[in-house]
Amino acid sequence: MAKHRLASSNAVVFHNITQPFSCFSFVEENFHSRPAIHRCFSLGRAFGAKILIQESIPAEGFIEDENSELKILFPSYKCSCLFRLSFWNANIKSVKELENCQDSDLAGYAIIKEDEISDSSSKLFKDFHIFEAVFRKYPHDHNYIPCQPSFNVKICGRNFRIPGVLYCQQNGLNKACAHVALRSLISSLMPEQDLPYSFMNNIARSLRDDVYNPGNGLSVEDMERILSKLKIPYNDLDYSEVSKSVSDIRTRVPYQKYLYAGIESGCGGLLGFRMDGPKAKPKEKHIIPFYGHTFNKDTWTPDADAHYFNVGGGIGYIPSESWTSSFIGHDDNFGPNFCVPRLYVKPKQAEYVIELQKPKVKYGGIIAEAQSLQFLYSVTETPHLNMKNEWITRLVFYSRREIQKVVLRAVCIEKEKYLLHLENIQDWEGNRELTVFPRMFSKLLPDVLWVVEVSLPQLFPANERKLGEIVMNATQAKDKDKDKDVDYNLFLFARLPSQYIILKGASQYNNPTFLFKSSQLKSHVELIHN
Amino acid sequence: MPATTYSSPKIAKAFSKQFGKDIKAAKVEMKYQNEIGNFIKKVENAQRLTANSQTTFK
Repeated sequence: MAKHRLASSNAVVFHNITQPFSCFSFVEENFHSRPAIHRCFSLGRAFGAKILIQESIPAEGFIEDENSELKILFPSYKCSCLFRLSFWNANIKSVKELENCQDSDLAGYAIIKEDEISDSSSKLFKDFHIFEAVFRKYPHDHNYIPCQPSFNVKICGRNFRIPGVLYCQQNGLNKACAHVALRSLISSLMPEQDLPYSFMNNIARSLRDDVYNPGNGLSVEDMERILSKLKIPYNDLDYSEVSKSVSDIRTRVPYQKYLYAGIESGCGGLLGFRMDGPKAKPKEKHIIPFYGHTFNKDTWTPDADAHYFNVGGGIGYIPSESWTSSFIGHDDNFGPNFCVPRLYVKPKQAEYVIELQKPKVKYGGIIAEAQSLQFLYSVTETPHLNMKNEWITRLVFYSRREIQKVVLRAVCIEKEKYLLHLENIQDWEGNRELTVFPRMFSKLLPDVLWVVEVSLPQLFPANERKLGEIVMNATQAKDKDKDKDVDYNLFLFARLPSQYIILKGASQYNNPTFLFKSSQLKSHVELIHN
Repeated sequence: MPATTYSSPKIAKAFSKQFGKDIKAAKVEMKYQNEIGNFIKKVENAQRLTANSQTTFK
């Protein structure tokens, strides 16, 4: 239970922040112009907030836990200020008037903390940081955030719920960028549990023989152990390590693939990168969380960039992230809910990427997409597809070796969600699937699936529709013995216009037998909205 | 092929039982076996090399 969010206030001040109130002056006078705090005020402004409620609160729950940890690390430590700031769209002037407010009137909140360390003669450290903040996402149609939990926060004695992704900032004492980036994403996966920093630090401490200084950050191993302890599956790639033996790894396996797969599956991802520019220190590495992306149907890139993710041997396709202009994430140095252009961090700067996954998942979206591509380009070369269906004809055309411009989108979802999707979708002519199929699949599918949606240029971005999907078992690990082969055991079935395709047996690896069964869905249907 | 709780052959069996002659069977020549297999191997090796790395972020 996140007790720190429910602390009762000691003192309350209502600020009318409409014109001519200056957010700049307020942040300069009260919070030393900290950029992340400025960003919170900018978000408040962008949502049209009229009132800022400033409450002094006591340290409870995780904040109390953090203070205890800091007191051990720095015996002279004290928490000199702790404020909860909330931004309101309603014109409220008193605690009593707040009683009439709804959750929807709350644009966001931030808990701001001042840490202080001193010796007998002088202050060694005194600075503000944002312990946590939650702001609503912009209502732009282009901004897509698959997983937004709601957080319960008490303001002036009343409980409010606000949807968003938790933003947290480092203080360089007991937490660095890696700690706060991890907490942002973990709190979305386990909103009722949250996570104290002492939990991460105890794990990191247990991995070292020498003294551990949490202000110096977390290593990849630390982050892996923390996620394992929480039973959160992940896939990660350390480009700085792997590039020592595989020089082209950054372009062969781009970090965007991992981030996008994590985001589309509702779990998010972290990107670690090297600072660039003349003043950057060579060893300075920063990591930030991503949990959403923009979707721009008019993006020019896809038509020009079909071979962007070229798995080798001239096998091309268009990954759906091609229509993503930016990833949405936090930067603990600068604040919450930023759009970072998808190609902004150059491959040479990427140091590490991690894709978080749903419980029980055994492999990542990059593997799911590659395997389904092989399946698709194999079946579309057979004479067994229903070529009387015009959408199959179009799919076959776009799959041809000299064209290969099929759009693929890998989404990891629970079986129930997929079955509901299959029950609800209608093709362009209004046909629905027979109920016998979802009923049969309910007994034959595992709890979590990789569903790789298959679409075409124009159909995917303009209509947000697809021709079908390739469904794979996400809960089974790839057979390690088949090191060089594709593991067909992960494949469950494919649904294409007018046809299901099911693998009957995988004993003959080069020429397996498939079953073909007709489907009521004859043309394109809507995409999965996770 | 190792026995698995959920697999395409099991779905195939259930479909055959349910739909009988409405189903067609055909062999399909799998393309790009080496290319995709090598790519997956490369990804898995990279992930293996990543495990326990001491690259640190602050």
